[in-house]
Formats: sequence, C-alpha cells, structure tokens
Amino acid sequence: MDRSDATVSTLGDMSPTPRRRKAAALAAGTVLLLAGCAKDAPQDYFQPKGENARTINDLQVPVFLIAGVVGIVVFATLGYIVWKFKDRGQDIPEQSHGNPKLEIALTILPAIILAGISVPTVVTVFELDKKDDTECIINVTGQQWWWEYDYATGDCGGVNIAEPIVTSGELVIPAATNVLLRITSRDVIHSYWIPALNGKRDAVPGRLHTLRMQADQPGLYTGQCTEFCGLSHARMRQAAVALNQSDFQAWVDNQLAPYVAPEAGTLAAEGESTYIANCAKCHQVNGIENADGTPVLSEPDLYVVSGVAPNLSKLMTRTAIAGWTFDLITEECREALWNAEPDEFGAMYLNAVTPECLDEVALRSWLRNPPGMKPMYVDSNNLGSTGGKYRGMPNLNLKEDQIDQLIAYLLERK
Amino acid sequence: MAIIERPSAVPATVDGAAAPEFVTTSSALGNFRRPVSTTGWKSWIFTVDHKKIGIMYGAVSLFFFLVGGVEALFIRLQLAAPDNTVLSAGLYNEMFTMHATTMVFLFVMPMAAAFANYFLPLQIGARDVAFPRMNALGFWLFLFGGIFLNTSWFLGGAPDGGWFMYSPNSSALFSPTNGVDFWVLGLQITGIASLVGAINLIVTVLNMRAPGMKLMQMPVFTWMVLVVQFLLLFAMPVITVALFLLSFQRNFGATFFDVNQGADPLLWQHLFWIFGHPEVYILILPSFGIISEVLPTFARKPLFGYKFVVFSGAAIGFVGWGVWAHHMFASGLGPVSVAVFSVATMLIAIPTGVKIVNWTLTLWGGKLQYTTAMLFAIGVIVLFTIGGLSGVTHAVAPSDTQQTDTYHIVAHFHYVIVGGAVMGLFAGFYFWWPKVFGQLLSERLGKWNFWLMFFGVNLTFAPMHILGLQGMPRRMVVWPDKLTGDGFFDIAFWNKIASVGSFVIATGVLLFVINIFVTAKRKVKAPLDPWDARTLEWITASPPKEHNFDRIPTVHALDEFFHRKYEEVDTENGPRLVKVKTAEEILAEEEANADRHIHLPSPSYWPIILALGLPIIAYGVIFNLLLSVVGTAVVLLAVFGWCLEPSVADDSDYDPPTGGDSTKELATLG
Amino acid sequence: MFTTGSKLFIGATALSAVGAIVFGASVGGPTGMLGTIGLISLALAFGFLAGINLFTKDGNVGALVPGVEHSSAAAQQPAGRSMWPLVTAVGVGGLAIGAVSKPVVFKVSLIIVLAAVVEWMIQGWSERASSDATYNEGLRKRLLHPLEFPILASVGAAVFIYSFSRIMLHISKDAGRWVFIVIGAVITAAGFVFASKRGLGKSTAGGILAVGALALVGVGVASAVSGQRPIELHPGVTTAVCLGTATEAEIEEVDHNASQDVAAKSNPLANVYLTADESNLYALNTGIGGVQYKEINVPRSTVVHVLFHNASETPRRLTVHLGTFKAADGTAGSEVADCTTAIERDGTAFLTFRIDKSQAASSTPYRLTVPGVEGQEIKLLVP
Repeated sequence: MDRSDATVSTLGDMSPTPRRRKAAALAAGTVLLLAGCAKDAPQDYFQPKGENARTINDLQVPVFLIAGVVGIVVFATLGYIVWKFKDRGQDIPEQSHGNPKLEIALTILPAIILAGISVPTVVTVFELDKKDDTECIINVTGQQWWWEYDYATGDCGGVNIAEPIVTSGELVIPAATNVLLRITSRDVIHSYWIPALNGKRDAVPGRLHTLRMQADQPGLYTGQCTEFCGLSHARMRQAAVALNQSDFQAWVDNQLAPYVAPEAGTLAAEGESTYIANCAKCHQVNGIENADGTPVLSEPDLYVVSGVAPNLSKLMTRTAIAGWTFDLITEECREALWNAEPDEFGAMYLNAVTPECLDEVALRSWLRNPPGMKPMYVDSNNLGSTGGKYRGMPNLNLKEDQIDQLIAYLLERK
Repeated sequence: MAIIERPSAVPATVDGAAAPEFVTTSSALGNFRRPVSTTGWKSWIFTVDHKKIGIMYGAVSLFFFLVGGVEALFIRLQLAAPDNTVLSAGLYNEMFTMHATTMVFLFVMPMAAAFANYFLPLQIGARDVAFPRMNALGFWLFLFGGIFLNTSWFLGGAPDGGWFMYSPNSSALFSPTNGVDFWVLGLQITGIASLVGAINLIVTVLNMRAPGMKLMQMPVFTWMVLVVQFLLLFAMPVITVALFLLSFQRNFGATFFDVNQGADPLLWQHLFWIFGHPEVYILILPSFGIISEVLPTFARKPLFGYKFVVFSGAAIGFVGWGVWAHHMFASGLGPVSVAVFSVATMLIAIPTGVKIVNWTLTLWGGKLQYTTAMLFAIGVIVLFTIGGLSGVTHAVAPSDTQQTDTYHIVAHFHYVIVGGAVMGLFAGFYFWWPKVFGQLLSERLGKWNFWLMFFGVNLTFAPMHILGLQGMPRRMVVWPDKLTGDGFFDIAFWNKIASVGSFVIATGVLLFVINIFVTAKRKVKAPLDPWDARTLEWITASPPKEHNFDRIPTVHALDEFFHRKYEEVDTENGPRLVKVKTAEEILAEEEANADRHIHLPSPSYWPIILALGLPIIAYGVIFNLLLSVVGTAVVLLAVFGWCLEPSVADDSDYDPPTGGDSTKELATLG
Repeated sequence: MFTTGSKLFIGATALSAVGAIVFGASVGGPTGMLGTIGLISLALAFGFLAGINLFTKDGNVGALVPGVEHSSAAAQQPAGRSMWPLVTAVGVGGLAIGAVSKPVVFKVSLIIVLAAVVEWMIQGWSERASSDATYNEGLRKRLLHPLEFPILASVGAAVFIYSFSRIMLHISKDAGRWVFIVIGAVITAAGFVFASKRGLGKSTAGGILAVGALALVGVGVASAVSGQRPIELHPGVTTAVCLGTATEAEIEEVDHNASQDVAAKSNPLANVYLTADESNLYALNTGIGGVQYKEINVPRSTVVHVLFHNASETPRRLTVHLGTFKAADGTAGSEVADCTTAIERDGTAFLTFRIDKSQAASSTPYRLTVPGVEGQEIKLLVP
C-alpha cells in the first residue's frame, strides 16, 4: 500500500475537523517527499490505526515539521556562512563581542515556538489519560518473556464475558471500542506497546498502570516489549487483534466453550495423557480431567519464578507461540491475514490455524528444545539465585513419539 | 594546615660549637620521603603534575574509547542482518551494557577530565591545580576502576542489565552473575575519581586565577568545565547512593527494590535519572567549551555574545536538574508529572539553542580557516543541531511514548554524544596537540579523519531515525524478517547501512590513531603559535615547562594573548588590527622577566597506593570478604602515609632542576 | 635499625606472647581463657609500642649524632607544657576504681592510659627534634593528627548522635516533630549568622558552639537517665483476627492506635466501599467509572493493592480470604486470610495481597468481606 495514500485516507476519513485535515495534508506532503511506493514496517507509528495513536500523531507531525524547518534554516545559514566568509585573504575582522538586542531576540524566538508546542502537549497528555469513557477492561500482565491477558468479567463493548478468559500473546479486542488495559508485571519491568494503537506503558511489578486502546477497524496490529527485560527481551512480542462485535462475540464464546476431550484411541488421546504427565504441572488447559475424574490443576508457582505459564486451553486460536515469536501458520497465510481488508479480517482470524495454513515446524522444534529456540534461564545447574525455579520453559527431553502425540493433542485445542 | 618543614633559624649552640645537624623532615620521617624522579616510569606513576596526569587521562580514555568502539562494532555486526547469530543473547546484553558504560564513564567523562586537567590551569595562569595529590588519586581511581569493571569479562561475565541497570532486573534473582556487582563497584570507584576531581577543579578555578583575571574574563572552556564540575559535585552523590542501595541489595540481602517486600522499583529509576540527566550535560558541556575556543580562533573573531554563552551554559547546568523524569514518560508517573517534566524539558532547549545561534554568529563576518579542528567544530554545530531537534520531538511527552526505547532515541543521543561530545573532543585533539606535544598532527590525515567520521556518523545514526520511526525497539539482540517492511522504509536495508556506517566511523578513528604515530615519528617541531590563538595557554612554551609559566601572566582582557599580539592602528581606511608582536617575542619577554621563586608540589607515592586498595576491597566484596580486609589495610596505610609524608622533598633529595640563579621551591600545600 | 627502646618492647612482646601460649596451654577453664586473652592483648599493646619506638627511632633521633647531648634542642630549652601526665594519672586512677567497681570504667580508663602514653611519647620525641618549637609542634601534629582527628571526630559524632537519639526517644511523638523543627531551625539560623558575620571572633563562635554542644549532651544525658517514653508494640493482624474468630482482647490489641493514614500508592486494583448503613459492600474497578462491582478479576501470582473506604459508624476492617489448601501431610488445612486494621468512619486503608493459585485449587472461594457485616462480599476471580 502506498504510504501517502494510507496516511491521507485514514486521517481524512476518520478526522473531519479542519485542524486534523491540515495536519494530514502537511503529513502527506512530507511523507510524499520521503516515500516512493512501498509497504512500511508494521510497527511504523506514523500510521495510526486507532484514536489514541492518532491523537499522538496529530501532535507529533507538526512538531517534526517545525523541527525540520528550524533545521533547514540553521543549515542554510551555516552553509552560506561557510561559503561566504571563507578566508580569502581579507583583513582580520572587527573584534566585536556581540549584539545583545539580537541575542535577546534570538532567545525569545525559540521560546515562543516551544511555548506554542507545550500547550497542545499538555492538553494531549491529559486527554490520553482519560478513563471515564472505558467500555472494556483487560488485565495485561508481563513476565519473562511473554504477555498474559486476563479479561475482566462483565460487559466488554457490548459483549458479556461470563467467566474470566485467560490468553496470551494476542490481545483480542472489540473494534471501535474504548478498551482500558490495566498493566502490571510479575517479575521485572516490561513495556506494552502496540504502535498503531497507542504509545508505550511500562509494566512495573507492584504497580498497576492503565493504557487506553482503541482500534478503528478490525485488523492485526503488532507490537513488542520495549523495556529491556533480560535475556529474551528481543523475543517478547505481542499483537492486538481487533474484531467487530459479532466476531468478538464468537471469539468469546469459543474461548469459554467447554473442554472437549480427544476421542478415545486416537493419537490425540495418547497426547492427553502425555500432556498431563509432562506439561500440566505448569500449563493449564481448562476442564481437563485425570483418569479418576478429578480436575487437573497446574501449579506453575512451584516451578517458575513468575508463578505462571501460558494457558493452553485454546492454543490454536492464536497464530504464534512463545512470546508471540514463532508462527503457527505459514508465511503466506500470515501475510494474507496481516494484510486482510477490515471486512474480511474477522472471519480469517477466527479460522486462522486451518489445516492448509498450519505450520507445525516451529511448534515441533519448540517441544523438542525450547531454550534452543529462545534463550531462557533454565539450566538446572545455574538456578541457585531463584531457588531452583525456572525463568522460561526448560527442555523436557521429550521423545519424538511423545512430541507427535502432544502435537496431535494441541492441534485440537481450538 | 601549613606545616613548616624546616627550622626557621639555625639552632642556638653552646659556646660557639659547630652548628649541629638538626632534624629535617625526611630524616625524622625517613620512611616517608617523597619520590623525586623526574624521568622514567617513576616520574609518571608518582607524578602530581597536572599536565602529566592530563596526558595519562587522555591516553587511558583513548584506549577505553577503542574498547567501547569494538563493542559497538560487535553490536552493529549482530544487527546487520535479521535473526543474526554473531552474538548470543546473553553476550549481546553484556556488549551493549558495557558499550554504554565504557563510552560514558570510561571515555567521554575522563577524556573531558584530561582536557580540563591539562588546560584549565594553563588557561587561568596557574602553576598546578589546588590539590595535586588528589588530582593524581583521581586519575588512578579512574584507571583502576575501569580495569576492575572490564575484568568482569573474564570473571564470570560482564554486567548485563543495560547502563541504566533498571531494578528489579538488576537484582541477584534476575541477574545472577557477578557482572552487576562489578558494574556497581567499578562505578563507585570511578565516581570517587569524579568527585575528587570536581572539588579540586572548582577550588582551582575560584582561587588560583592569574592576577587580573575576573570570572567573566575566563576562557569559555574553563567556564564550561567549571559548570560541569558543579554538576558532578551534585550528581555523583545521587548515583553513589543508588549504587550503594543496589550493592547492599545484591551482596547483603537488603530489600530496597524488592517488590514482594513492598518496595517500588521506580525508586531506582528516579535515583538513576536524577544523576543520569545532569550526566548528559556533564558529557556535552566540555565539548561546547572546546568548540567555543576553536571557532573564535579560526574565525579570527571573539566569541559572539560571550556572556550569553556562559550564562546559557550555567542555565543548562541549572535546568538540567529539573528534567530527569523525561526518561520515564512511559513509566506510569501520572499525567501531572509527565506534563510538568515535558514543559521543563522544552525549557532546556532554549539555552541550548542560544549556543547554536552564538556559534553561528561567531562565524558570521569572520575570516574562516578550515583547519581540521575547525572542521570538527563546525561538524559539532551541524550534528548537535540534528540531535537537539530530534530531542525536541522527545520532549513532547505523548510523542515520546511512541519514540522512547526505539532506535529513534538511539539516533538522537548518538547525534548528541558522538556528534556533539566526541566530535568536540576531536576538535580539541587537533587544536591543542601542538600545545601538548609540540608537534602538529598531520592536517591531511586529519581531514580524512574528519570527513570519514562526519559521514560515518550520519551513515550510522541517520538511518536509526528511520528504524525508530518504523517501530524497531532498542536492546534487541535480533530483529525478525517479518517486521521489516520494504521499499524506502525497509528496516533490513537501513540496518545494513547503519552497520556499514559504523565501520566508516571506525576507519576514521583508526586514521586518528595512525596520525598520532605518524606525527610522533616525523619529529617536526610545531611553531610556537600555529593557530594564531587567543587564550593564555598559548603564552608559554609548547609543550609547557613543568612550572607552566616563567612569569605568572597578568590578565587585562578576555582573549589576553590575542590582545598582546594585536593592536588597533589607524590607517587611511579607518582603524585596522595589526600584529604588533609575535608569540616568540611575547614568550621571550616572559622568560626574561621570570619569577625568582617558583612553588611546585613534590611527587608522592601514596595516590597510586591508595587507589590500588579500592579495587582490592571491591574484589573482596564479590569473592571473599577477607580480601576486603586486605584492601582496607592498604587504604588505611596509604591514608596515613599520605598524611605523614613531608609536604616537600628535601633539597638534598633533588637534582637541581634548573640552572641559573632562580630557585625552585616546593609548595607547602600538597 | 633496632634502637634500645624498641628492643625492650620487642622483648616484652615476645615474653607476653610466650606467656600467653604457656598460660593458655596449662590453665584451663574460664580463668585460663580470660588470662590468655589478657596476655594476648598485652602482647599486642607491646607490639604496637615497639612499632612506634622503631618508627620514631626511640623518640630520640639525635642520639645517633655525636655531641648532640650538648647541642640538641632539649639541652637548650625547657620542656613545653603537657597535659599528658595529668591525663595518665586520671587514667591510672580510673583503672584502680574500675577494678573494684564497674568493668566499663576499667575499660575506658585503659583506653585513656594507652592514648595518653602514645601522645606523651610522641610529644616528648617531637620536642627534641629541633630547637624550633613551632617546627617541633608541626612535627607532632603531622604524626598525630591523622590519628587524633578521625578518632575524635568519630567519638564526637557518636556522642552527638547518642544524645540526640536519647532526647528523641524521651519526648513524645508530637513533641519530637517540634524539637526536630526547632533544632534544625536553630542550626540553620546559627549557620546563617556565622556566614554573614565575617568579623565574628573565633572565641565567640567557639563559645556558641560549645554552649550548644554542652546543652545537647546535657539534655541527652538527662534524657538517658530518665528513660524512654513508653513504646508499645502491637501485634500485626492474624488470620484469626481477620476471620473474626479471635478474642475481643486480641482484636482490641491489634486495632488500638491503628493508623488511619494511607500511604500515597496511586495504583490500586480497585476501591472497595462499605456504605453508611452497612447494606452494601461494592468495588469500583480502577479504570471504569460508576459501575458497582460485586466481583473483581485478580491476576495470579501478582502483587495487587485494594483500597478500603469505610462509611459506616462502626469501625470496620476489610478481610481478604486467601483460600483453603490441603496441608503437605494431606490434611484438610484451614482458611488463610489477611486484613486491614479496623478503620473508623470515613477512614481508608490499604490491603495488599498476592494469590498464587487458581480458584479451582482452593476449597473455599477467594473473596473480600467485612467481618461483622453479613451477606455482603466481593468475589475475587482468579482463573
């Protein structure tokens, strides 16, 4: 998609006020100078896809322009001086020590420009901190090195969430709805960032920070943890997925749908017992039961420093695993999904991990040796400082047939 | 405390008997004589001469610059391609932590200290700094602290928490190697060096200026150094406290930043940035001072608006304390704090802008000579302006929540620190090299050096603006192919360009090192006043004699040296500046009227011994407390040795330093 | 190298060291222990004196110069004034008194005697260094100031801190604030006066400081003698108190003098309100306005804060029920709870807790209740 077109259309369509139009036109102008026909990186924050990011963009575009103009004036002057006053054998100039009036004028000028910038800045700061128009609350909790989302029960943009939903990696939100994230952390400081929707907010243990999220259209918006959080900081990614109300309702219903045990005698059924034996200590699958009918409850607090591991009840509704780093779907399907038109996106997303799209290579290799794919503190010789608890997922030394069983089992978690 | 070193009169004797030998300090305290070598390695390691200390500061900082540069090249190699595997994740984290720590604490700060040490006494017409032994102590602490910090590479792993070392990621739970301990203790040691140096230079500037030199007649470099020393004086205690808290948490089980005990991790961020932001000005102001000397010299014109430049420097030093939270706009401080710090941050752009304007207007109407030093100085104006303008975009807090922790920030502060501070230091190298070593660095190599560095900086850091705006965060060991985009804003392309650029900078720096060796080998003596310079340091020989000035100059004006050389003469075409004296004539005049009695401090054993004790204590804290006991014993011994040694060496201990009838005595303040 | 005096002390060191070994080996029990420690201390003291003698060349450098007995300063000048004989005498007297009364007097006297011996010796040595009294004094200072200043400064600081702390512990909490303000103001004012009046004589300034120091130490000693104000230790909340199963007396003990202030933590998960008629307990979720929640979502293994507001006449506490888990031996286990202290009308209190296990793992629900208010609770949903 052409960069300038994108800017003009989103800004133009969404923001009818004259101020915004002007900003948009200016932005388009500069951008045209810079860009040919190209597709930007998905985390370009000059392409807001939601109200909050747009508020920021409307503020930052003029600031960038002013900075650019000032820069050009300074460099043009400097260039002229360097050319004009080169030593061509002229006399030693008059030893003048300055001109106070000029000095004062040139001090006041930037002060006026900055005063002009500071007023809208302060207004925007408070605007972005508004909470009273919230329509949905989601708890976002960071840990090394993935994000957990915990949906508060109650109304979420017109959809009732009857039971808590716990998921990870992909934050699914209703489009055109003011969602409020309540962000905290279980270990070190992380930072939640979806550039197309809003700026960053740090996840600080012991503190609860809020961040507004709103997406105009259904779509997938990528992000990345931006506060350095240790070994696999680079592999702690996330995405926000916006769905229209009916699709969001479908997503919620699916998340809360009861557990379906694999049919007896299938590979997946063997996978279930392998899962209970190897994975269930840390990873919860809601509704799974032991052979004697008692529920299987994970106790990650006994094994992992952060005290949690991703909930795998609906693993196959997500498109990537392990801190949203390794894809579960093929590259083509991913490209198609990321670039889908808003009206087609919902259906595609709810059906993302289809047999045609499934790419189990990453999942298989992850089960074989997780720390080999993503560096984590799981070497049992070096866990003195954590009292033997892991930070990340250790290598479980699964055999190939166990991995086959597990994949068969996990593929049904959708 | 003045202590008289020898009896004021010959002791009374009985019946005119032969005058007895009486006790002199060095015979009474024979174990504590002062060293007296004036040549060889001993003359360096026991020296208290500010010029030798300055040269040692410079040499060691340059070495650490190369170390930090190699670390940077590793980082750029790793990031040159998506999902690259040059460095492992752990090693990458250690690499960027040490790159920043080395460049900030072991290169830019001590290199500024090198310039300050060497030129500040010369620029104010003093024979040495106020506390020469403390000065030596500062250098040795910096050297040993730096070595201590870097030994972590070989003793279990370098620090891996980033130079900002945010808590709780820096706690023993999340960073179990000893790297962070090395970082904490190493910075404590170099921190003492900075504090000692700050007090020393403040006292020197305020008390030891040449007769007639008012504060507003000091060279701008001296002024900027003075402001920096005040910043250090107040900033170092803050980081010291923070480091103590962290080190007690890691080594002795304290819980200052432990969330489960009710602590708030933001405490660390506040402490770190209350230090960390003034630190930015500590890095940049010396360079501002240097180019404020270089630009007028090669424009043949005084600095435009001297008072404005000085006051804006002081204003930066003052307002710099009220903006630390702009590093924390995404930390969740609440809208009121964010708004206040956002506006305060914009405020600081004003004095900074004043400087740019004044430098530009200094050039206006001048007679510009494009020597290498001048090119570097103009380079600073250009690059720092870019860095400053992108800084204004960060001051806008909502915009900063998008930009912070992306490569846009990396671009910004590298333009400021490499483009502003480092290029300024290079201007200083080329400008003052003939003063320090009596030889001109090759201008031809120098111009190559400049253009390679100038293009290299732009090639490396300009693409980082794009990377940041395209959403590439910092401190990531890998970036994935799937997030690159394509066309003009292709992250992969710009990452590659940045990596190429880093090697262009490296080539430029390498040329500088080659230039040093080529120049040293050529053995061509530089003219006494190669640049037709303006300030006091040029009034004496190059390199300056041990006692700096044969006669302490009396100052009548700003740019004293220039006004001794040039006078206004009326001609048919109105008044004209005419050279009335050459530098050689002025020097000869000074030598002819040399002071009869020159005070100089004696060398001392103790600064280096005292400094050696601290890393031993630090190793002890990490590995075995018994070692700390040994280190403490060394420190105590050195402290008492320091107090007990005579304040001067005996005359009998000395080779007569100079012929003729002038005497050279050693100062009573040691 | 080894002067006569140092030989004597080296000998004494060796003798006491040998004595310590022999005594320690032959005499057992507590007596032997004490004796050995004494002899080792003696050996250390002698070793120290031997070192000083070596260093100062027996306090008589001139001894090596022929004919010095006639020409040396000591031969020319009367000895200067010295307070060390007096101090030594006081110390020795103190030793005697200490031996029959309190050991602390003995120890202090011993330190005084040792210090006086060192000072005396070095002063004696320095006075013979040359015929120039000023020079000699300088020499003495150079050797002793590095010892005297740090030691005296530490003692001074210790006395100051001790006196001040006794005063602060003696007076009441409220008076403490005022004393702090007043002393701080006085010090600032004095500093201001000293700084602005350059002509202020040394003795005047010294006198003012001395009076201040004396007053502080005097009041400090008086406070130390009359003892501390009563400081009560209150037990923290217990599960029994939180669940309302504790006795009246225990509950009273916990709530007595409980602080009604809330530290300014700006980020609670929810605000919990108890209405004036105690008919409703509800939560306002942070981030959403106006909706009264009866259940709130709490992420697992995360430290969270809840702010409790009481509008009821009766002092009330907020209790968080943290579940019931099987004990390690397989028995049923009992319910765990935490709570605030009882809060007066319109008071607020913070409650911080962390829940590690999902609600399915607990046999009782996680919830917030107010003991004494029936039928009202807020469910905590922990998936």
